[in-house]
Amino acid sequence: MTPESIVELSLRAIAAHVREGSLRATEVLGAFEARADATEPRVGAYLLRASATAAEAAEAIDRTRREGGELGPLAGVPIGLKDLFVTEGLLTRAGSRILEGWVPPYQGTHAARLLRAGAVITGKLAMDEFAMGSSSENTPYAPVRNPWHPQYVPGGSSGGSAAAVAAGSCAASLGSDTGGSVRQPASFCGVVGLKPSYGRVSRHGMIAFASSLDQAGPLTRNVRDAAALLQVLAGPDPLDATSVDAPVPDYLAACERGASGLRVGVHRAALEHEGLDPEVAAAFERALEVLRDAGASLHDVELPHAQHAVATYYVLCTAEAASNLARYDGVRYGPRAAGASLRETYEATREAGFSAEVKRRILLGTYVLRKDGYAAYYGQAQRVRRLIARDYAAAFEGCDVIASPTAPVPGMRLGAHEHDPLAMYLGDVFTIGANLAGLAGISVPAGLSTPSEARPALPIGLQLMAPPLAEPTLLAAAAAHEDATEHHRLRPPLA
Amino acid sequence: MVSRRECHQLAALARLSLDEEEAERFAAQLGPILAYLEQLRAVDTTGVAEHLPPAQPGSGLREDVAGPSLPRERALATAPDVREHQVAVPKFMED
Repeated sequence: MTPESIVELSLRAIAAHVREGSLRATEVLGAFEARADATEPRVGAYLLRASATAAEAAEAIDRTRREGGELGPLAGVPIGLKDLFVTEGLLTRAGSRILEGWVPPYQGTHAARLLRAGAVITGKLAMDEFAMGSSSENTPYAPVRNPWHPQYVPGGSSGGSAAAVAAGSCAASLGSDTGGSVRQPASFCGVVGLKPSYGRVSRHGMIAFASSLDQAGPLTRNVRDAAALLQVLAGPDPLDATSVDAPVPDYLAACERGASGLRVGVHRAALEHEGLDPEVAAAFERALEVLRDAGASLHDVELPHAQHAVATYYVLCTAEAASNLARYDGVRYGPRAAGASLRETYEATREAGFSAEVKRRILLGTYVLRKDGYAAYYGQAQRVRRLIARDYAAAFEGCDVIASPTAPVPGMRLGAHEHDPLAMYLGDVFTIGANLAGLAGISVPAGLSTPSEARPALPIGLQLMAPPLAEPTLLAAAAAHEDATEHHRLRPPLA
Repeated sequence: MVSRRECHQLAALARLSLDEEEAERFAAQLGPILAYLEQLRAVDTTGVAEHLPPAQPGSGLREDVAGPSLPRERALATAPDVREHQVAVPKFMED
């Protein structure tokens, strides 16, 4: 098999080849490493390539096979991790200077479960610092380029994770999704991005941004690959008290259910959004047709508080971030800047370690948590959050999944919102609801924009959302759409 | 609107030290963001409790059983200043 054809294999096919011995894990890794060598100078998806430890892991898998040992469901599958996943012995910085040089002394649950399943970790992927952003430009390091066009961002905050999968420099990746940070970059890069329900996947070893919203999720080239990764990641974890102790269903089997009889909800009022690009709107209507042709029925749903989701989210996520990021003070980990007193040490360390967007969100979070701001902002946002969650629960009485565009636009140029953070925040309008209500969500490829003088051909995503723990329904709907389309087979020019 | 002075006050609460240029930029940016967040005040939340995640059976509290943990040397290995097996910081109390 040629390296080019190895890179196109599904996760299950890679693992089957490795288990049967028709491909060696080292051979698989070599194919993806060669692709990374070719694409990384132009894409820059990786903050750290772990070529040496990956090669050792692949050799260990091949040795296990030769010796007749058991191989896991992801045997030899090269997977990249967003830089906020804690990896024992492997530099982990959450994309921030404040964790420069931090080599974790323990293994996070995600890396542990992937390694136990036989995966090979290819390295740490670029991101917006502490996952705060929608473009991967909030970084002290180089921004990631979209493999579809080098002047466009890959989305964010899991931009490196999406760009690496689109470029084929790993077979799949993990990202984190606090307000859309898996789904939106998946949409921008033309790949699949799955945000499981809150608590479905452990948060232990995922560096916290906003703990009541954060969830880890896979980015892959097709829906079944996402199901295969969720199968390994899902399930209770004694190290995360918010992980849900519910049985883990067969997600791959769910992908074969089809869409016959599926009720798809559409919130029409959200499509009146003034920033919705006409090409995104048209692609969305075509995706609804695809689902209907596959046997689904369409139903209008009402989400009366949806227009307040972005405001609710930015109060809550900044408040939680201000609290979570208080731990970075130069005392126990990361570099310490010299100060005459303890307080000056804290301030100098944090001033040097955080970049502008992180400081902006800490200041906002501090504002809404102050005695003067709490009732009007934080307390009120928690009440509106409950109303939003109720809206979704009521809507799901009349449908199985809710469909929408993933992002209002097909993509953003590098630097487009450099001086206007609010404009960037408003782009999260379709994805935030799933985080506020703890729902499962997925973005799947739904076509390309028409190339013109104003804009190149860029991917457009379809988002589907389902009630908490209804990942089987979500995956069935997403797989049915994928089976009826060719969008997921398109490859970017830089791959 | 947020003044530069208020920005410095927020920064002090959050243990950040902003220079004047940063304080001016953040003051200019926080104003429009807070104005946008103002819309929440208009939502009728009479009788609505603050959101709490649903209680999850089987998660949360578990038996307190001693298990293996990080050896002290490894737990301290990434601290910037360690003396006598303890994290060291600048003096913060008078003798």
